[in-house]
Amino acid sequence: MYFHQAIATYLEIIRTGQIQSAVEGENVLIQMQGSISGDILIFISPRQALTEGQSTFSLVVSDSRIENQLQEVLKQFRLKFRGLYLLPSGIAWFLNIIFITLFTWRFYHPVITAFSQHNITEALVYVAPPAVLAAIAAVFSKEIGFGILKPLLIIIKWVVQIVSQKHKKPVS
Amino acid sequence: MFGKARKLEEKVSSTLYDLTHLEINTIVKDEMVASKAPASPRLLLHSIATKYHEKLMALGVKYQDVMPPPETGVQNIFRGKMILLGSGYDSFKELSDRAESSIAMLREHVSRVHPPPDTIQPDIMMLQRIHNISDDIRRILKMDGVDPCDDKKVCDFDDAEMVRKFRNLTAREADKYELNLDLRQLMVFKKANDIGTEKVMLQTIIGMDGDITTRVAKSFAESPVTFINQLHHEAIGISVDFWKNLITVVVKLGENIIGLFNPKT
Repeated sequence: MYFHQAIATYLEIIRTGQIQSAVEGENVLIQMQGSISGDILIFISPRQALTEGQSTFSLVVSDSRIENQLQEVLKQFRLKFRGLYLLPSGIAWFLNIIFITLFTWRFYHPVITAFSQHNITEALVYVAPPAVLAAIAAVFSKEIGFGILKPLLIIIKWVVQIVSQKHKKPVS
Repeated sequence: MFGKARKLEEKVSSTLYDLTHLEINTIVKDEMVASKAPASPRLLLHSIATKYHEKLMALGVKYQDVMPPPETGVQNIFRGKMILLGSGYDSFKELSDRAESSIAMLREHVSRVHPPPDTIQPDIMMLQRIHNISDDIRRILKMDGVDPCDDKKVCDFDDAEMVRKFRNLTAREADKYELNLDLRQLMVFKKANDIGTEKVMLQTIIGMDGDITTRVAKSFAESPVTFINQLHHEAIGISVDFWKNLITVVVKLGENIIGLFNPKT
């Protein structure tokens, strides 16, 4: 989903209160309307006034063009709907950033203090391990998935356990 | 104070209903799409009132042979006495009351006709829709701050002449009499206008609790069209996907926040 498409979807929602896609066949017109709450209305109407004994159903069945065009319209409509959840996910990301900032402030205060006292080396010692891990995780999660990190984490866990066992003093 | 609390409760419960339910309707029209829906909520309301008025008239004509003759001075058995032809609170009350009495009349008299017409049940449903939606609209119009002409001192939209005048006002002048609706209320009006008095062929309601209800019109069930079925099915897929993604965003956010405070060991 491209950003400009998401913006276009929101502009449509603001302007008309809904998103809409339409397809014209030989005999019938199909309009699809979607609201921000996910409700969908589909209208099937004739393109010309019905004659005696004719019905919209019979026009749908005899329309040879509509079925092919509809796939394209459904694709567009789906895309427009995807644009709608860009805003909630944007809000979620924004909230996420706020929480992470608060968390970082609370637990990395020594780092910030070190930076403010121009003790860059000490600050980097604090920052480097999580930064490197985060970067590795970001790359691997995108390319291969978090599964690749699992053996590494198991090894780290073993090392930590062995070291802590060694450091434990025997109870006398 | 209690009024405000009730209003808030109503808003919260209706928003919760919207968030926890999806509705997909497929409507087959027999008439061409004539014009776009008006942008002004006032004119949108008038469009709904006109549709309901015309439907009551049409159904009255349809059943006039099986009904007792109307009172003197009454043109149409279902529409009854036409006192208000505008689109204000009282106009919708009149439409709602007429629809309700028409349902009672239909049930009482048509059951005597043998065999009863096939269309009676869908027609009762249509009258029920007119009754229900008119009441929904009235409830919105009575909410605090929605209708600036609530007291009818300056303008009375139950009078069709006022609606005609409103159409010719400049945008700035019209704005003084325009309804102040929130997005949800506007959506109620838009949906009522879009569906109008059209026959809903397929309707699917999906609840977060796992309930899925699909209603199929009798005429469609007897001679289904595969293409329309598929189209409805595709729309359900799109709607559910949208919903699923929204829920995923919320769940992920919750997970991240909880994860920050309770890191896994």
